[in-house]
Amino acid sequence: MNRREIREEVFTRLNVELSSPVYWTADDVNESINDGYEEISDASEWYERNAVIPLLSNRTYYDLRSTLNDGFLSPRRCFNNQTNRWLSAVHLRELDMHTYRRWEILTVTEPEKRFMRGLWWFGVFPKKGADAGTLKFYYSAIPPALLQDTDSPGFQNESHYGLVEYALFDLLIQDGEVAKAMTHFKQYQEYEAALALDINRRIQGDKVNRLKG
Amino acid sequence: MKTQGELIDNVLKRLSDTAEQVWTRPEIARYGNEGLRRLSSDTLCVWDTLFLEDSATTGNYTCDAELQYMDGGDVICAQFSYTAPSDADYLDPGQLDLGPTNHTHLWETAYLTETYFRAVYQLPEDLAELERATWDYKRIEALRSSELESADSRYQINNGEVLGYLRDKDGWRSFRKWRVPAAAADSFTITGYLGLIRTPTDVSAETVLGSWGVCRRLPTMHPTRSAQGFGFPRRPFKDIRNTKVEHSRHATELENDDSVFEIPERYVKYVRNFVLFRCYERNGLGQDLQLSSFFKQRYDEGVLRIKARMKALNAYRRNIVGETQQSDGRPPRARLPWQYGRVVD
Repeated sequence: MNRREIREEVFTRLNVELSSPVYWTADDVNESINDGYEEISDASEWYERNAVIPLLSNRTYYDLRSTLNDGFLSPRRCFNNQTNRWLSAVHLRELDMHTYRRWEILTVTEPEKRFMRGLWWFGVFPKKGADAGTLKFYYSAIPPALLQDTDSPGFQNESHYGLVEYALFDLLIQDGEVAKAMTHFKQYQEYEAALALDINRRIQGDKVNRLKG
Repeated sequence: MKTQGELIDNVLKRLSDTAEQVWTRPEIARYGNEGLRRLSSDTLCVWDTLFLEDSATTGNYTCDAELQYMDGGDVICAQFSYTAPSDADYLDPGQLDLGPTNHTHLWETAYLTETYFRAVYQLPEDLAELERATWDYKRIEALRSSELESADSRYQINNGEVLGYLRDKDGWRSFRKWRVPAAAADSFTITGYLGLIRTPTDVSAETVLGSWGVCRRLPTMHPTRSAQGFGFPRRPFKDIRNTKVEHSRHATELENDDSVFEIPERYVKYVRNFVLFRCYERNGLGQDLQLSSFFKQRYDEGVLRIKARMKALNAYRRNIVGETQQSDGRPPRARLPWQYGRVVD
């Protein structure tokens, strides 16, 4: 379904004349659809991206708000393009207690480990001694909004109806129809849970778990 | 929604009250700031650093109330309450012991015959949780006063390297260094003391990129107390023989409709849920406790999501048995790229 089809479905369920809607405008519905698109993407983290981060001289922490963009949700993996090695995740206590104590001043080699501070500061160890090289950073994000009527949500078709339910909830709650809105929100939550489950179980059917995997 | 004004417009539209018949813009702005503060303290998502500098303490006011009488251009140094160590015996009960200060302006340090270093500092009010403290790039230990009483009973006056800190007896926002610093931290010699950094060579020998404008980024330095990740470095610190505190803090308060949220745009919707919760909760016209409870629940779900994301990287981490034991380590050696010496298809 594209945005126009989702909007028409919403109008139909609201029993509104498609050609000349009166109470809710097409813009109102589009806004609710995009609100739902953001919400379901935030809950399921289905949208996976990667970006190149230029390494800077003597820089331990990179601000992912500006290095990536506002859509960043959570980190996945990170690859050092110079050494062709993946950066391993590390806890700060490990660096404090199991590496060189003054680890923050080391610029001896390429970054090998990574960690997060707060929600958007991405740390690397050791840091680079010059403005040279890049990291490839894999992360989940909020997808771009559906701006055109021909734009479609990026996830599978069966979950598109979740956006219909969310838009209905959002519009009805603005109208004070609380009971009806809550019914639609419950249905939206079922779509949201199903999408999140699909994301987490992508290889579940074929994966064989074993010791030393 | 990136600004306070956009948040208020969005909330009023959702409340079907764009004419402000029931809820007003100042009221919603207040709820917005409360939600922002709650979100950052519930999740500890805003990380920052600050320096509690090991330097001869320059003090030029004795209580917070005096700050409002500072004029534009005045240099605010630090709070102080007495001028020589022997005065400490005469402090009033309940008065904060910030240590002695014997000069009131920075230039006087060049003429001092005796230098006092401060052990106790007041942490900023927006600090939510202290995560890690370092001295001279080395992690220092969080200690209880009961531990130090038996290990170093003269811990309040013994000078030396800073090895740990206390937070349990000198006041709610206090930070006491153990031991009291014995020497000043390394610092930069800057030409002039007002305005922005104009000559980066005062601070760094590295090649300056660009030839005009002001300094935007200083090598080796993480921006401290910067709300948006933009702006200019104002006060460069060195880590050498200096105390740094890494902490989470409250997000910067919004002052007017043009104020930009410090948190990423996505999370402003969590604040919106909090605002709607407060709007529907308040007594009078428009009150709807069912909706209020619904939006509070959605805000709580958002908090859980943020917490899960902050722990996400730990899921990729290998745990080590006995990792809390400190061991002597050495810097990692440079490694060759993984395919070095191999034929790669």
